[in-house]
Amino acid sequence: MNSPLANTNPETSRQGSMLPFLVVGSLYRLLQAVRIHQNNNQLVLTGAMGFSRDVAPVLAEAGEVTIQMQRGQLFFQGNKVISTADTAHLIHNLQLLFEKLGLGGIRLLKDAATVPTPDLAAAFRLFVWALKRQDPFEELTAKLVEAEVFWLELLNPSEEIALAAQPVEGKKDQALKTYGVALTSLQSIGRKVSAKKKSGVGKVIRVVQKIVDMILEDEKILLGLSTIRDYDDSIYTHSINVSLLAMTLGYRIGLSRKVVHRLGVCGMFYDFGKLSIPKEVLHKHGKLDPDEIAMVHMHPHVGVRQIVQLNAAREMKVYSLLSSFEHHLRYDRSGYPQTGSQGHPSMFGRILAIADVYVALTSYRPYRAYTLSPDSAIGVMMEGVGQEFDPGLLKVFVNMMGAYPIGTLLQLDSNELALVVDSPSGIASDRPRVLILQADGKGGFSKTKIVDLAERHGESGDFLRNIVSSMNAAVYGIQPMEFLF
Amino acid sequence: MNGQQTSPEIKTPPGRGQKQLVAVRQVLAAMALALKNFALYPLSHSICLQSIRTFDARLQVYLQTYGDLRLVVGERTFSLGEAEVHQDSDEKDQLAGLFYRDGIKWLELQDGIDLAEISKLLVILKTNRVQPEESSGDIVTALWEANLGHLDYEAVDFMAEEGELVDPLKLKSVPAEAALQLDSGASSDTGAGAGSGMVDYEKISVRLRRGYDLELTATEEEALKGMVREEEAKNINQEALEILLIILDEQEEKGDFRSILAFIREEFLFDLGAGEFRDMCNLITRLRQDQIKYRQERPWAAKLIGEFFQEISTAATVEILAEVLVGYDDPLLDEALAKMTRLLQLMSPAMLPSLVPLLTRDYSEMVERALLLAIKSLAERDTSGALAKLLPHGEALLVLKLLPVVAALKKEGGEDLLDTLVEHPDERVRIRVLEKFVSLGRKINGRHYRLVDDPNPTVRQLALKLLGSERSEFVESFLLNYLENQLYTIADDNHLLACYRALGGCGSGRAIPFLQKTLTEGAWKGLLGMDKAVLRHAAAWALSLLDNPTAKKVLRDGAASKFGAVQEACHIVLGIKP
Repeated sequence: MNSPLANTNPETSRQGSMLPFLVVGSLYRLLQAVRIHQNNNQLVLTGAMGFSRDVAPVLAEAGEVTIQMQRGQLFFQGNKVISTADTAHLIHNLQLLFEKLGLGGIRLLKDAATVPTPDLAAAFRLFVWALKRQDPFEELTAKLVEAEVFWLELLNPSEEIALAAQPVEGKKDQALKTYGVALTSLQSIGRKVSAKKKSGVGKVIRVVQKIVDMILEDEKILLGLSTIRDYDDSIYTHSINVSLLAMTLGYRIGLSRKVVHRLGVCGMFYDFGKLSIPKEVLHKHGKLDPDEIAMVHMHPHVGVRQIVQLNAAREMKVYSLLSSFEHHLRYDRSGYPQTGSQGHPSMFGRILAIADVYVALTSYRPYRAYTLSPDSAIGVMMEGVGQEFDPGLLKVFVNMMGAYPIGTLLQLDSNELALVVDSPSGIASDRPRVLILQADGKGGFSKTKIVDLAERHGESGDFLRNIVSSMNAAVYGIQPMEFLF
Repeated sequence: MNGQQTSPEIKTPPGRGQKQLVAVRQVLAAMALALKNFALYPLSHSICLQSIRTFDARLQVYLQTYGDLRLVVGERTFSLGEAEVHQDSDEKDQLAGLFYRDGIKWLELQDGIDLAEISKLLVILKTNRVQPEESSGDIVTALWEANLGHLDYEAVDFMAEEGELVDPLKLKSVPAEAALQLDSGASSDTGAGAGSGMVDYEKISVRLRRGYDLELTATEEEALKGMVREEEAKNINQEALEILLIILDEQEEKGDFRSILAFIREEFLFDLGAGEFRDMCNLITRLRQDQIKYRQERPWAAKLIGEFFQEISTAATVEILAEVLVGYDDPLLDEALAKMTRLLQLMSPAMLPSLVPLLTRDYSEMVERALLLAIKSLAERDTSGALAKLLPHGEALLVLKLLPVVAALKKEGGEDLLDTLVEHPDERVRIRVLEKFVSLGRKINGRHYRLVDDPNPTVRQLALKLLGSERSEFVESFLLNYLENQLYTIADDNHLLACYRALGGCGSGRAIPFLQKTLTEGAWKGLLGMDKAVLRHAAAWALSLLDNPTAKKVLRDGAASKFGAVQEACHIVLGIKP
């Protein structure tokens, strides 16, 4: 089902993106209230009124309201709702409740808008009643019919989520164009900085604003974009990728739109100091000599100077220079540069350090004997939790990326190659949706179909496909974004 | 909001008539005026506040009557549907032109917009009136950031203007020689070569899945929330300044050193505006230390830091401080003020000419005390004579406030300045300076003897009191000449009495002939009732004050005089009862 609401006037502001939580939050509060209190209790009545009030405008505009849970993710009107630190708890609790009821979701029909408050409370009390039944889903369905609750439909967990129609191709093109503009702008600034000329940053500011809007709209596409790798001019793509991941992580932990933007801009410039390192050193095979190491260790310092010399707003420079200076400082304050300061690096520094290491580990480096697959990179990074990385931030990052981050290349036991296109939230869920690739006979690949690795054989109950190994698409010259979306 | 993807779809609402057009023109005229005032005055100025209220009032009436106001932006015009409803009067007073310049196609002021949002919009327009070349933002970026709930707009897609872009999909992720071959169905490449995409899957991935708990603990969740809250409100200037000082110290090239120092100055001014005095004390102290260090190793750097101190000691800096101090009247801010004092004490005395006039503003007593302390400290180091230039003709109120500071200055300049101030045009200042002289036991300078003729009686009294406070040939000569030749312009009895007393206080045997003459001359006139008893009495007092045997003899002789007037005058001073 395509949600009319989802397709009209997409609300991209922070307030707009909170609408699903408003509705789901009041539903959850109502369910909690009827669980504890009688129907005439003030809390129950207030809860029912609150839910009725919050859901009314959506019903008025869209005609129905659909709330679904699938693979730990909340869908509102067919749109995946991105979990943030503030809302993760709510989603988790709702998921537990739906699981206990064997419920995939609920759909409120238009008539729900006119249901009296006590009747609304009474209907949801049946959910509590069903929790203790043998077959909650079936018995609740029957009970709702008996109670003549025709304004509410229960959805089976197997029911396919009718994703709101998204102009995916358009979005992908737009995303790639945004990436291209960011890259071109950064290159232009980089050239000026290297030539010690003043450079403005207006375009980067605008691009990052656009990216922030994209995160609010579709986080997945950004994670896809962050798989782009460029060997020749890696500083810029590296910075953009780090910026994308940092912003997504920032949004996940609940930073405001403005601060996410600030973080994104910092991500774009934090590694500019590397422009001062000759390519021969950056691309040197084998170990660096002490002078070269010293040069590399100076790049956060040089970066600060370069940022100061940008023609940019004071605030932007302050945050960027701090990020630049700190991005090789570890959570336990080891790393470089050492200044004698105490305490952990700034939050931006810690976020950027996570994104920086992840992108670096998953990018080809001539001086390194390996390039990790995305999932392996995450594994390696988890080893550094508490010392190298902020534990809380790293956990959120890993949950955001999933066990197999988008763009991971997989070898399946079906003798197929596949690219991860959607990674369920959390590391525990290790069966992503993948795109099966087919060799095109010219050394390249073409898309075939998207399959869910959680799919099982009808009779045997065995998984249809299993992962044999994971690989880094980049080292095979594949840009995953070409195939994603 | 900020629907940059939606099309404007300007339609003429049914029934739009002349009244609506008049109303919208009134709204826009008020908006233009408010913006103009915002450009001329500080935001808190009553004119600004009044104009924004007018704009708000007209807008609210419009929104209530006609609904959301969507304006199509032209080069210098706004249109409502087809009707042009505003034209910018000239280049200087742009309104529509500002939106047009930054690529805004239309904007919509929506029902529910409040005064706070209106103010933010006007601030954005004010801030972006002049757009520097290659600036880091414009109205569009500012509106995006402000995220106003009741203002929508569409901007030209800046990406559409881009020329040829890099196609990210065509980028090479690895050098050709390092790229691995991969065929569908190929067996796993377990090599660990330079380009290997394979790693030990079992070892890392499986361990990862089983070995870590990725649920955020309650403590981690709380810590994250706290971190986010902190980040949203954080001022990271202190950290940034620490880093900038490190980076500054590393610069070997003058140009780089200068540019970093310029940014430090920018930060300094920002911190000052935010009242972060503590951070700035550290900064200034460190820079002073660096300056000393560089004098030997990098003289040009020491010079640049010297220039930095001059640059941050200008009137513009003081003006920033002046704004901050307006609200300082809470004893809880005592500590902050102490830091401010410390900071100002560390600054260059070049700041004095702009700092001193702050004392005339309407600040709390605690602020005034802090400023006085700072001024004293700067004045002690000042070699330019800033106070000496400012005060002699400064406002009386200002000079009066500064007198304790001037009097307490340890260096010579302080005494000189106090001397100068006895000539201040305002009599209140002259009085206070002379009182200071009296309390400090200071002498009055010869060039100020003419104060005995000051129009103000208190000044005259104090001057004479000072003149008569110790024996002095110079003063004696002056007073003798003054009295003998009747040079006084004020022949007031009290004044003359005071003059004679002063002569008595400062004089010697040299004054006796004149005083004797004054005491005895024309004594016969008393018989006719024409005697000037006051002068005779004054001379007797002066003689008694001379504390001289000859003078005493004159008095004793006088006490035995056959003339009653002389006798009476001498009896009084000698304490002889009639």
